[in-house]
Amino acid sequence: MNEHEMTDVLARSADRLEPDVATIVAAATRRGRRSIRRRRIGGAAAVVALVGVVTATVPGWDGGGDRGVDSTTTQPSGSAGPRKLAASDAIRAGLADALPDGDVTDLKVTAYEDGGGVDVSLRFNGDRVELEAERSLPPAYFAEDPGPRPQGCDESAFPEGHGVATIEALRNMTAHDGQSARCLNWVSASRERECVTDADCWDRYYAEFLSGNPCLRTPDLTGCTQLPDGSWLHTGTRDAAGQGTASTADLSTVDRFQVRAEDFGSALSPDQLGELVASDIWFER
Amino acid sequence: MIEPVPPFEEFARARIPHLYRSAWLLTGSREEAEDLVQDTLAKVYVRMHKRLAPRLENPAAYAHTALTRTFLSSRRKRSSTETPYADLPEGAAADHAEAADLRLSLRHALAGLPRVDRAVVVLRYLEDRPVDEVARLLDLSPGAVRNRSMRALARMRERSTR
Repeated sequence: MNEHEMTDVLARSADRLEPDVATIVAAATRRGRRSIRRRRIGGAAAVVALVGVVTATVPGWDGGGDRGVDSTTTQPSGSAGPRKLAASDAIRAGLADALPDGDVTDLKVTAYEDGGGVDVSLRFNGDRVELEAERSLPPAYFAEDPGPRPQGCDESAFPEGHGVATIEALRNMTAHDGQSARCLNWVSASRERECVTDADCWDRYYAEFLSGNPCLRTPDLTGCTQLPDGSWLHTGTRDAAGQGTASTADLSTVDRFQVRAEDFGSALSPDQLGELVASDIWFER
Repeated sequence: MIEPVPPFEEFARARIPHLYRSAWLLTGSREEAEDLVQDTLAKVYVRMHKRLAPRLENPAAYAHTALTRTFLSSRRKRSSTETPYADLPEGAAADHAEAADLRLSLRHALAGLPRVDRAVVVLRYLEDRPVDEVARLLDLSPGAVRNRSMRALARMRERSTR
């Protein structure tokens, strides 16, 4: 086998391998978000102090009063105080009651290191089911300090405004030389900092980005339901390449918790997953 | 000059087949390959959302580099003296017969190589990277990359003729 033959053999051997693209993208996104979350937890205090309070404007998704800087400062109507996620053992026990009758195996409940979330994986009647519940980070965590304006950086050279379109346009540009790159990054960070202090900008860009719940941006989307406590529930299916269709449910609460569920099969319907994510097993009682 | 960068999901969907191909050759199993690609793309996601860092000029190259480094630094997998090629993908039956046969042979041939040599083979012959770049990536001298390439080819040739 010479070098040319090796190249050919490697290329042909890996031909027709069909990875589960949808699942890999979803899992990578989750891991990436978590990684950002862990990294920013440590250094966020100073940013929180600078940014202040942000209010939400999605209809019915406004818990009232101060919010945004600390997600535990609001709660769904009727609650006595800020909610906390339940301990892993309590969630494990709660799942036994919340799941429909069926065969549950390989149940694993893992709390995030920072205590802000919990991961659950199990098999239900043989299907792989994944769930997670987490407290969203406050907006301030996502707007880092841009620092001093780089020398010679002319902000007017970039699209004006501090809204979603401007920031997305800036984020989607890359500069090839050091000076332009520094300027572009500074302008982008500055606009972003301004965006998180603006409720409308926050909701249109960050709320959906952080939660992954499309109802926060498009409440009238098919599959979106607003629950009596103001939470937004999105249920549906998605193409899980290589694994058929996956059922999904995604809940965003008024106090900025996210609860997600996915069944890679047909054992649990989107509605059943919806009941699961909206149940009270995820929180301390 | 300023050019657009694709959003993460669009980028990931486009690159996964390429990354997965390398990952499968590195790990020899579908499950480990998927895990390796997920780890790699999570790093790309973080990098793409790192607002204050310079924009990624070549996300594809960054992802492939991250894949190799993640593979080599992964402590939860086996040591360099072990061969991870323990399982033939279950899905082989559904594959094209020729590709499946080839994978069987290749899996056998790659099985005896240390992790670094396997990375050299994938980078040099699948990703077609020049010796100097592979050397930089794996923290080896160009001479060591050439030696390892030749040694790997010889060992694979030997195993494939048994």
